[in-house]
Amino acid sequence: MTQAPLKIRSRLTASHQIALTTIELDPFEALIKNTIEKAPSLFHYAPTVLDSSALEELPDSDRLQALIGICRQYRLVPFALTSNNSAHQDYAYQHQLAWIEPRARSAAKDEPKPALAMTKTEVINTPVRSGQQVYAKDANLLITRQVSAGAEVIADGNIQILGALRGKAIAGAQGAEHCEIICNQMDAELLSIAGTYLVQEDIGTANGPARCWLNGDQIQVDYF
Amino acid sequence: MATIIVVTSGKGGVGKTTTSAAISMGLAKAGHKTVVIDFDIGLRNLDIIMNCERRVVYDFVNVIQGDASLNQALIKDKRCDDLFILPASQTRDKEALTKDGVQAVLEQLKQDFEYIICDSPAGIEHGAQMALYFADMAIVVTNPEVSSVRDSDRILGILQSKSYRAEQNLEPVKEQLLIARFNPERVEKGEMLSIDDIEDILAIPLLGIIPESQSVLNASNNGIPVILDEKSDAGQAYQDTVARLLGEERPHRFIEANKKGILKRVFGG
Repeated sequence: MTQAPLKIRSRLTASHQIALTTIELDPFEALIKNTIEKAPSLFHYAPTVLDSSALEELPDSDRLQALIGICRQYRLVPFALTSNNSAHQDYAYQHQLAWIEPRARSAAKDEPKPALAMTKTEVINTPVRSGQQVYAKDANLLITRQVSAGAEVIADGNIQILGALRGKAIAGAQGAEHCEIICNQMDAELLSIAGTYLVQEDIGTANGPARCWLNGDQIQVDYF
Repeated sequence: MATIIVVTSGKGGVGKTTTSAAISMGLAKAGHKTVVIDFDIGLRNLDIIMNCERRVVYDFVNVIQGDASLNQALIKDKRCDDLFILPASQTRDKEALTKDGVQAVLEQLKQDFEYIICDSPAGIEHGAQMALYFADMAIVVTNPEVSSVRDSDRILGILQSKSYRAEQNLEPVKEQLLIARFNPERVEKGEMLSIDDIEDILAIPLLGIIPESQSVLNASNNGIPVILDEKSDAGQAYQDTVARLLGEERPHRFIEANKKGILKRVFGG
């Protein structure tokens, strides 16, 4: 009887990715300890990928083994290396770690798309009423009247509203993070810039002229 | 040249039919030949308020479908020679209204009448859209409550995008606001939106304010347009409204809460 051939299946496995921000052992251990204490069961023998993108210099072999040791001590199972720098691939193989291609998204971050220059501006001179939707494709949006509750104004660029904003405003709809929403009276149902959003509850109760912009991963609303 | 005015609101029960009846009667009393059309197919409303429900032989749908001539269906009001009513069918549904049919009837009416008032059904679907499609002017009826104002806002959006004038890029439909069932005492208590709030949200010119009044209910039950009740505040407010519609300038009345004096408190107001 011949032996059954080795069956190989490919499947996606969830794994944690830990960024190596330091190669000093004590701070690294403190970081791991802090993180794991927040959700111990989440990290219980979890497959772990080390991300060396942030490192200017790769650790030598002993140092790497020590770092991996710390991970194991906290019941993580490090098995692979990833980095935006593809030169790190050889280093991974030298140390018998799997190499994981960085995600497309983080690779794109490496060389940010040139910010699309929105030179066009679409102008709306009528109130945008409840139930209506306006989309300015590849353009900024200027509304000289109000945006009613239940209305939606969307632009790939900036949005400026000379009246009251009571509906939803979505700027940077294609992901341009530098976009802003400016209105003369802030009373919005929802604000969104490049996919980050704020709902009415979180916008705050102040109303008046406001400027909204993306500050890190949060929309900041400045009142004037 | 005839003017087509739609009385609309989005929400039901705000006073569209009362307003249609009052305004058409007011215009006719002022000597303008007026016809009021009931677009609320399937329900009986306008003909009761106008007190002509027992005289209906043919209706709007019969005319559209060619079963009757317009003259057979038009009912002349007994109180005013210049007022005619085109009643709705109670046995059909709103789908019986076709754009071509409505247009043909309106074109015919335009030959004879100065004002054509279209009493819209509630809602935003077919029947309501038919009523507003050919309008030159819209009277948007709103109560001082959030849901009513919100629905009026929605109707204004439809007027801007789905009316004949919008589709043909003509001068937009002239929009005017009528606040009905207004109660200044309840506004002061914060139970109702104020006129400023409503104007701020809807941002269209204010045509009139009709106070909440028992006389509206009485008039409706007796088949008399409330505008004929000249003693009532609601009747007077509608008279002001019609005068403004005809270009006169009149101050808004009945918008301040009555301070009840001691005598009124004792003997009742």
